[in-house]
Amino acid sequence: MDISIEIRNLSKNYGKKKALSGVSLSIPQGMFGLLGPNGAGKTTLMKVLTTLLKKTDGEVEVCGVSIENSRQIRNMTGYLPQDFSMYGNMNAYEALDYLAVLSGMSRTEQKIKVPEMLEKVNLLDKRRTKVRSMSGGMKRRLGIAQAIIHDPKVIIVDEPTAGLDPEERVRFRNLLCEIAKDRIVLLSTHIVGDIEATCENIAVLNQGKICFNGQVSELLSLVEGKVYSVKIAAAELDKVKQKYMVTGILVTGSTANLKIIADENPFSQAELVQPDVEDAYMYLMHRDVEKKKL
Amino acid sequence: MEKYVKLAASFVKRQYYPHLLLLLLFVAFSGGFVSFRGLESQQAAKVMEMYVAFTGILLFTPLFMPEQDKEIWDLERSKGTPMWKVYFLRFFMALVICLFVIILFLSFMIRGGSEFDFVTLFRGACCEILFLGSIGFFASAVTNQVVIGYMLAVIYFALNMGGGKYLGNFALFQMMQGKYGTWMYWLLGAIVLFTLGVIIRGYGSAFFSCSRIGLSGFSRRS
Amino acid sequence: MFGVLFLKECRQVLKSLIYYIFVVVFILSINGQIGSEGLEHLQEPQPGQAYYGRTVTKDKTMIMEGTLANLMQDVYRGSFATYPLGFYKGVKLTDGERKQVEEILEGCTGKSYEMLEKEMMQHFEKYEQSTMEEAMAVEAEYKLPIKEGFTYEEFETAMDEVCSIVGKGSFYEKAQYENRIYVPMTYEQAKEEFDALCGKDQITRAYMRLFCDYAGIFLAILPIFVGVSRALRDKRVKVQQVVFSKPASGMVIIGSRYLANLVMISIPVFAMAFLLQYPCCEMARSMGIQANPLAFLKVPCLWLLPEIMIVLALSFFITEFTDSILAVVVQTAWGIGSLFGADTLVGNFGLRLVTRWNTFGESLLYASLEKDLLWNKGYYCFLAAVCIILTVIVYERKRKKGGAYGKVCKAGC
Repeated sequence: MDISIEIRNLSKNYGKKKALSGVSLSIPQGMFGLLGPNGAGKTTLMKVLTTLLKKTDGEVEVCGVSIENSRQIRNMTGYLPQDFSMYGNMNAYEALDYLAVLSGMSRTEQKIKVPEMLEKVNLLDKRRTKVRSMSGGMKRRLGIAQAIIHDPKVIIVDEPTAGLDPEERVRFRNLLCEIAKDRIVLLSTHIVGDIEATCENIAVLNQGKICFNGQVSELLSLVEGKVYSVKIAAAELDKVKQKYMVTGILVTGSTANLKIIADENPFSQAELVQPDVEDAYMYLMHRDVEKKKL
Repeated sequence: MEKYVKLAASFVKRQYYPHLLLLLLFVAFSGGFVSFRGLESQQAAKVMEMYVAFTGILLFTPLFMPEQDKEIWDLERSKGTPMWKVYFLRFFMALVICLFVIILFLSFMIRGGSEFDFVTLFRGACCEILFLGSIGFFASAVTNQVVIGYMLAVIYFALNMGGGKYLGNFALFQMMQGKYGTWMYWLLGAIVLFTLGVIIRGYGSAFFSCSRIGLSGFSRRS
Repeated sequence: MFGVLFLKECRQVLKSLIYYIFVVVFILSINGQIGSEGLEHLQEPQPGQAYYGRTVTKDKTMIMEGTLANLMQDVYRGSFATYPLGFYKGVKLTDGERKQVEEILEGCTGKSYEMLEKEMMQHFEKYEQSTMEEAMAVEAEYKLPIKEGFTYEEFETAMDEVCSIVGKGSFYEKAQYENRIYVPMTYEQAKEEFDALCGKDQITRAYMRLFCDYAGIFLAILPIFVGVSRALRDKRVKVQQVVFSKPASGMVIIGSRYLANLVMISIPVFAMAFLLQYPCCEMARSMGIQANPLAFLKVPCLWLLPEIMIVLALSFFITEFTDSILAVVVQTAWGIGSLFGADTLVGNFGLRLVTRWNTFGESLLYASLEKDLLWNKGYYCFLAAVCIILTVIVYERKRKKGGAYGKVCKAGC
């Protein structure tokens, strides 16, 4: 089976508001990151892909199946929503078992798969813990377990690391990478670090439109030779911030270490530094704003 | 003062208005359900006890509705204004509306040529309606579920229709039998239940969100 | 999938506080209401008894005389009981209206109102009325003779006039007076009634009908809360999105939830019926009558199951449609309205939600009304099915719209 998602000219309107406008994307097997600010349309796109929202226009195919065939699509996708929750009076095992039934699994399959998945997400020894007593990280792990339990070809995870502590975040990202070996994992986030650590292919969505689609290296190349590090007097900080795009500030005493994105060297004492995805993302967002201003 | 007006307006605008609309319909269509013309005191009491009594359930039960979501409740409790003040404000607003509705129905009956002792019926009706409302108010405070609040208030009403022989001085529908002496019990019951409700929700710890009680209906998250 | 999901939903119901409140209230209420009344006094009628009970008459003269007697008492009391929209509405006439009704009475009887009043007083003063049975007998015996040559058509016209004065939903509507004039039973009638109770009804079925009468009152209201709570739960707990994204169809999800709640609500109902039937079986055995041991299943299945079905289905539908607790208000009003609106405590089923049979016996009357009951129950079964299909449609539409459907009461309820 062809494991890919093809999106052509996808639009989604809420009344007069355009949440997605002419989005075209090709998502191959592996981890795929969807980056964008809050309200960019990431969740809308994901809900369209999981058939939870009807598209207004355009075409979407998941593994060769048109999005209109909602039953088929739901069978081949697993979804972890942004605010995943389950009935608090169920324990981890019961919750997963319940969702496995909704995924259409037989009783025999459930008996094998539920403990297997709990083990995979490191919740087997917590299988008797009630959902209401779980930490945020445990809930997310339970969420990913329910998303993959029916072995879907596509897994869609919406802001999965928001609110997790650094250790849980790293653990969760690794888990996603592990899962992504033989399927598509579409990861939506506004936390650039998550993308940087896990995805090779990314798309950046802003105001309902794709403003970048490619590999992480291509995104980085956008700001190659444009990121500078400079030390200035702390008193000049406001003036510099008004003039340049500042992506990092570290104030020590009366001096401030800044990371600046600029087409040309802004200060004689500034040093060119290696850009990261966050710089590239900021550049992209800023460039769009500038274009709009013009 | 301005703060409290804003709080009350926000509650009405976001949570309470459907209940007020229902109350409006309840009053507007009352003429089709009950007669206000030429009633004697016991018949007038029947109108108040069996029909107008629902005003209490409608007005007082949903007062904790916004805080059914524990996150909202926690957030509001973390702010400077004590929650008991917020609840008291809502209670006071509901009380004023309730008194207005009671006076409205009594005036309908007076205009219809009914004959009854205004003060006695007004006092009795107020206490009884408040008592019935306080049951819904208290139940929703304890369980954090408005549905249970409505359920217990309606059940109490229904139990009294069957005679309410075990309810002693707290039994409803006494005035329509010509007994006007139990108003102070209703008032006492209402004061206790309203106060407890405000205390539970105003000062309640996580215990009252019932998250540790293993019954699903008891917890918002379950 | 359906079966497994159904069992899981049953377990969910068992973890719900509202369900336990329902069970406790239901058991306590039924225990408080139903006793062994009727059973204790059950004995074969013997010739020469003073009173054998009363029965509905179909004799036109008796209907006219009984209805006019009823009208006379209402005019004398100055108050008319009406049920225009299901709720009791006491109507008090103005002096002019009262005069009009007095004239109607005079026209039907050919006597002056003063004379009629005097005769009525004399009738009631003749008896002591110290017991309820005696009082009922006195009232059943009170008749107002019509004037000579007065036809049934003229009577119908006169009653139409009374209705126009009193308003809708009074006793003086044709459907009411033709089915509600009681006359004292003769020995033969009482014997026939007793034989039907012991024969066709095997005592247990008659007793179960009385149980259904009480249970039906509570089941018009209590399941609303169970239904609303279940239907709102996904939204409250924020699991809607996850459940929506699963391949299980709306029919399977809603159907299993509905069935699980229906079964769990029915369990205490049948359990109570079974327990209460036991003394009745014993009673029948002591009288040498073969009781029907399955009456606790058969009778509530016909009387109560359709009621639970519609109450639950409608609560599912309204809650799913409005995402609010509006069903609590609407359906409580319907339930209480239907209860208050019952113009008789035995029979007159029509399309009432709460079908009353507040008597132990009247087996012959039941046999004549059974068809009406079947229509009533069939109608509500059908309506319940429609409500569930509509709920599934709304659920699927919400699924495609990301969880939002309709705007009724979104903010507040």
